[in-house]
Amino acid sequence: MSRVFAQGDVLLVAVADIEPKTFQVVKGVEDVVVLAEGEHTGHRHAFYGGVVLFRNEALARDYPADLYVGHVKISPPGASLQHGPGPHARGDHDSLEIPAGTYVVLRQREYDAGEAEQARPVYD
Amino acid sequence: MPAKPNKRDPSMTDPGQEAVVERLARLDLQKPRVDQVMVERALEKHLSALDLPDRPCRWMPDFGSTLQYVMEGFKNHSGGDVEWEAAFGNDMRTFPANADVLSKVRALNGACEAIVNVAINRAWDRAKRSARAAAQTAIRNGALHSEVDAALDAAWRRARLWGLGRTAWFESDVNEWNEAWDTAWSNARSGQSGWATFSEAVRNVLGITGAREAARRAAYRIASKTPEMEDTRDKPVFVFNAAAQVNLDQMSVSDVDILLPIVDALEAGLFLFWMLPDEVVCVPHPSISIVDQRVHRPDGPAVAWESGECHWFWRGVWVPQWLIEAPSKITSQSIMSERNQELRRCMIERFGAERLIREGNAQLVSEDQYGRLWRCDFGDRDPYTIVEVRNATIDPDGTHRTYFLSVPPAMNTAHEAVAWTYGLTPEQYHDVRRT
Repeated sequence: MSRVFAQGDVLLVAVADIEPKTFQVVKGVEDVVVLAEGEHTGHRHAFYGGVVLFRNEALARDYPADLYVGHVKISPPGASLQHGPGPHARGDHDSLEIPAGTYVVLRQREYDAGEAEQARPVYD
Repeated sequence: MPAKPNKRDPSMTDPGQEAVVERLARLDLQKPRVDQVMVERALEKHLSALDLPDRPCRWMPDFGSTLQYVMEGFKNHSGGDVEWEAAFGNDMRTFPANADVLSKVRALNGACEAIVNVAINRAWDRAKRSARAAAQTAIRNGALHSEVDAALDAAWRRARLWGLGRTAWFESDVNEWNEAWDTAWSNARSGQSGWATFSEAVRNVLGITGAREAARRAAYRIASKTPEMEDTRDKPVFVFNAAAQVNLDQMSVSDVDILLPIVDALEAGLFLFWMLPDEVVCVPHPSISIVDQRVHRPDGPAVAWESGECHWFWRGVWVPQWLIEAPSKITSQSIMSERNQELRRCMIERFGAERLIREGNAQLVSEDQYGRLWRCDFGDRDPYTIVEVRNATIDPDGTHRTYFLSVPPAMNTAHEAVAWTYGLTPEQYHDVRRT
């Protein structure tokens, strides 16, 4: 069984089950949990029910901080990660069925000129 | 019965901290509001907290004119106020510096930093150019090695004098300047990082101070009492990233009195300032375009003063005007022949990695189930490496969309490269379900 799920520029990795504390929970609007907004297209990666998004920086230390979106706790029997402007409106990616459990959510990055500049030791 | 104090909720930030963070986060960098009276009042409070005499503010229209003013040593002052440096500047320099924090902070500081660098760079370039020309002439005339050396030195001395200008500098400043110049020059000739030494020395001599940098440090010092902060996503990264680095228990009330006015001054539209013994030279905040926490604008200058002084940035990198405003000038040929690695990366991003591959300038390095890895080699230590990935979802027209992602030069397989884009190792990134 897969433990890693990718939908375009959003990735979920299964981790040990944890219970989010109240203050860590990121509240969505009416059960909608948005993992990433589409910058140009308005297409977003989102769950429409059955999922809690929370942030636990301590458990995210193994991942680059700027890629960390949060953790999600998916209740049984699982949830569908959809891409598009709204529920069941299809974007560029098919929906992805994800089994119940706890996952860390990461964004995708690129190595661009700005990154390269920071990674480069100072020399002339 | 007195209420039991609540156990501190780690997600809650200190109200004072929150207030400073909110104030800085609210600043409209694109349309800054400059209130000179408020800036002046804040600087007055700052000086008074340091127990130093108040002095008038001199407002300059932009960075270029300010540098010229300070360089020409109006009123015979070229360096900063030594007393103020001792009371405030040195204190600021003792802040713990953490490399990772600095790299992130640099993004927002980019505008301020880079324009300072541009000015210093010009002096440096001029020196190098004239030295090179002198050496070439000497070699053409068949001079001996020692004579070439002498010609180089002479040219360097001339450039240094140009830097000093017609200014009556303080003797100590002249010595510092000469020393900086000489060290930089000897480093440059032995192949070490001459420019870095040089620019640092010039900054020290000029006493350049960024209000933004000072305010940010002030904010961290005042602000961060919780080492870990939850939910920082909506706040500018620059406000938060250094927060955890400072030991704030050591901060006293007087520190707050000294530092908070700098936050006030920044908020009121101060961008840079030079603290001189009898005046403060002030530069208003330019309009700065920030995208994803970096100074960036794809269709015009990212930094602009009302006076017309402009600077262009691509994803935090200072670039020449043509890269932004005349991108059609970029060809795969001009990319392949560009020696400046930083500029070359920006050119590729403007041009498109996909087009560079299509026009036959990249080699296929590896191909596996995760995609294809391409590399453009320029004969130096900064090859441009791209991973080509195919979308798992079939588009309505029956094809799979392909996209290209730039990855670090050291990547060797497409698997490793794709894993990197999500911050994972190849071992973590396997058996993936993708759509």
